[in-house]
Amino acid sequence: MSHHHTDRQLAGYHHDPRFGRLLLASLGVHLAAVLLFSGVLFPRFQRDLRPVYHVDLVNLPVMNPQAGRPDARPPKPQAKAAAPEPVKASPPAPPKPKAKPEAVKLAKPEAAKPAAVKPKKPEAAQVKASEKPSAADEKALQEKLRQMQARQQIDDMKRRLDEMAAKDTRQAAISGAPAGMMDGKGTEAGSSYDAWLHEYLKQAWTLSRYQVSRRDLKATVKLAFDAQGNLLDYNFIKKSGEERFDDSVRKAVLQLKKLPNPPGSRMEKDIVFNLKDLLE
Amino acid sequence: MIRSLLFTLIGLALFSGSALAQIEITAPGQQAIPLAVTRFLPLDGAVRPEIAAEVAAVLQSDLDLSGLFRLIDPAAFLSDAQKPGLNSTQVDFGQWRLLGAEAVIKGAYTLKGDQLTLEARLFDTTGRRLLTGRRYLGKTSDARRMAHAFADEVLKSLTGEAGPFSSRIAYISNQTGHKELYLMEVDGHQSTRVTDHRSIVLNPDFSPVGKELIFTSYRAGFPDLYRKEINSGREARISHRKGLNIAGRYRPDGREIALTLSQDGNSEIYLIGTDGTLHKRLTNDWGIDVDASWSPRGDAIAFVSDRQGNPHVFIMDVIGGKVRRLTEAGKYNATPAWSPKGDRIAFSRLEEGRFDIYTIRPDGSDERRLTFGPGSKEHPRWSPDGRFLVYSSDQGGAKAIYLMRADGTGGRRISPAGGASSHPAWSGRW
Repeated sequence: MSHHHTDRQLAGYHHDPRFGRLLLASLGVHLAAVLLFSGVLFPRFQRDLRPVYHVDLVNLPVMNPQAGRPDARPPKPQAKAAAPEPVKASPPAPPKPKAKPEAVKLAKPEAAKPAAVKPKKPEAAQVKASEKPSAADEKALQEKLRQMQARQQIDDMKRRLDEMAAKDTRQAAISGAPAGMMDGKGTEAGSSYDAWLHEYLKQAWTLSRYQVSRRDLKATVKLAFDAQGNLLDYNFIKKSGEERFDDSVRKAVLQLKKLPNPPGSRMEKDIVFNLKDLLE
Repeated sequence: MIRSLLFTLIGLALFSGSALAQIEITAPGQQAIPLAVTRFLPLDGAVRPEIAAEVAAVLQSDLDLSGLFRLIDPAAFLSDAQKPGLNSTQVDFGQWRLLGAEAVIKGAYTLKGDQLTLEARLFDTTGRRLLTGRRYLGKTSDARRMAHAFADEVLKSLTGEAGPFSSRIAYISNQTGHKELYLMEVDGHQSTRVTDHRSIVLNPDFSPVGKELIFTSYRAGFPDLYRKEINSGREARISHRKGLNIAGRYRPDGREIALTLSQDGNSEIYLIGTDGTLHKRLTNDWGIDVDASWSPRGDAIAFVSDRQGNPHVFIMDVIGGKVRRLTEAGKYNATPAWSPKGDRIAFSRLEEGRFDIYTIRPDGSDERRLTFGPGSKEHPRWSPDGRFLVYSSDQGGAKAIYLMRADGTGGRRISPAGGASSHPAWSGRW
């Protein structure tokens, strides 16, 4: 009987608007607890962190040193694509030759101008004979002229540099290339764990090309770190199937004991080991 | 509404802790295993440092040749190198890790009279464990053999396949004034003369079963085929047909020999028994057919023929008799050697007045030139594991025997000084 009574009571609660409010309140309390323990509500203690840079001075020979870099694409095809087109588009009056003489003209006057000015000097000397007082003016005029020429040259150089910068296609390619830490903040703590792990595990990984018969081997390992950065566990998500390869991966992972800085919470990373750039 | 809010919150809570990103490492940072080879220490009995030095030298030479290792300079070794302990609990792995060694070879010897006992161990310094260990018993004169055997064992432990360092290389040398057959170790040591024909001996080949060789000799005034047992020294002339009896090659099962005969006027390749009986004529063409080399399964031969003008390498299906041309480039391709794994065929090509060694896949693809520089490199032959190639070269003046890895790296002279050496052949497991 009591069982029926409880059912009825529960049915009553469902129709009771207080039940919804109670549930929301409970949800709010739980959420507050989660926020409280996650530390989001409180400002973190800010340490004065010194910037740390990872510098890899070891350049090991690799099959394709540029592999993987966005700027690895050969610059020549780009240059070809850019250069021949304007020439083809305007064969009767190629713009390039025009631009070049201009550049030569601009460069030459630097040396040529004094020579051009000098012939004036004898003239001035001739004038001097008749009108002596204008000598100082003449000098000032010469000086002004030289300053104007220098300014013009600087302006021309600036213009040429702007033109070159506009034409430089490499600029765009390099700007997309990875440089330093991908999401680094300039400090060890802010540095990318991915970049650090990549570098560490790569250096810890030893495998000779004479140990493996195939180059299409691949293994994926999941690493788990605790909040202090200690390696808690590792397991193969996918093995290569070749014992020597998998063993070399295991040995590399076993050398990793701790991250340089605690991540603050449990962290998992999937690492893929393959032989795309193994020496031929 | 409330339910959907709950699911969202739970989902967020679960996902926030495990934001996963894959990191891809496309090549090992170290592509040679840092290895320390220590000097073996006396355990008991007499102390003979020269034995320990010889063992270490052989191990270093063999393992360096393998290309698998980066040997750590013994001058950097710390105190553990002087400790005789050979159990993994007795080795100070920390010291070796400090030197960057990922593997270390330690050993000890015991001498009682002329009886030598050699204990050799390979340790993994990362896993702090024994990878392989062997105890060899023999005479003091066997120290080199023991070291070669352990080098084979080290390769087996780290690659899954034993090395070829315990095998032998046969070659022809004229150091006595006559071209005679010699045998030597893989590093060129312990060279011994096998024949005393005082004539011309050519084209040796090892039997895949048993320690015996076939070769051509002009001992009787003609180029006849001989067979010789190494241990007993017994010798027999097994083919002395009219004309040439040259370039004999054992079939991989050891029961038959492919041989070039010119009994009908033109050089053709025949199949004969090990007793010399004629089994089958393999080639039948107006051109010169010579230098057969068996595929590892014994179902095909690679050979040289000028049937299409210049000498080129051809492949013949021994059962069906179908022939196809293998080499297309060059004008003179000779002396093919099929690798024991069957994946490549080595040959020499004459270009600009000198021979160089090349390899090609049996389907004619992926041709690679392995040797460069001055001198002619000829007569390539594979090691039984397919890791190395031995060949003759006159790059240093007189012809000598050289050895290199199958990818063309690590080339070095191995034959001893004196006379001209050529026509190498590599034995199977000895």
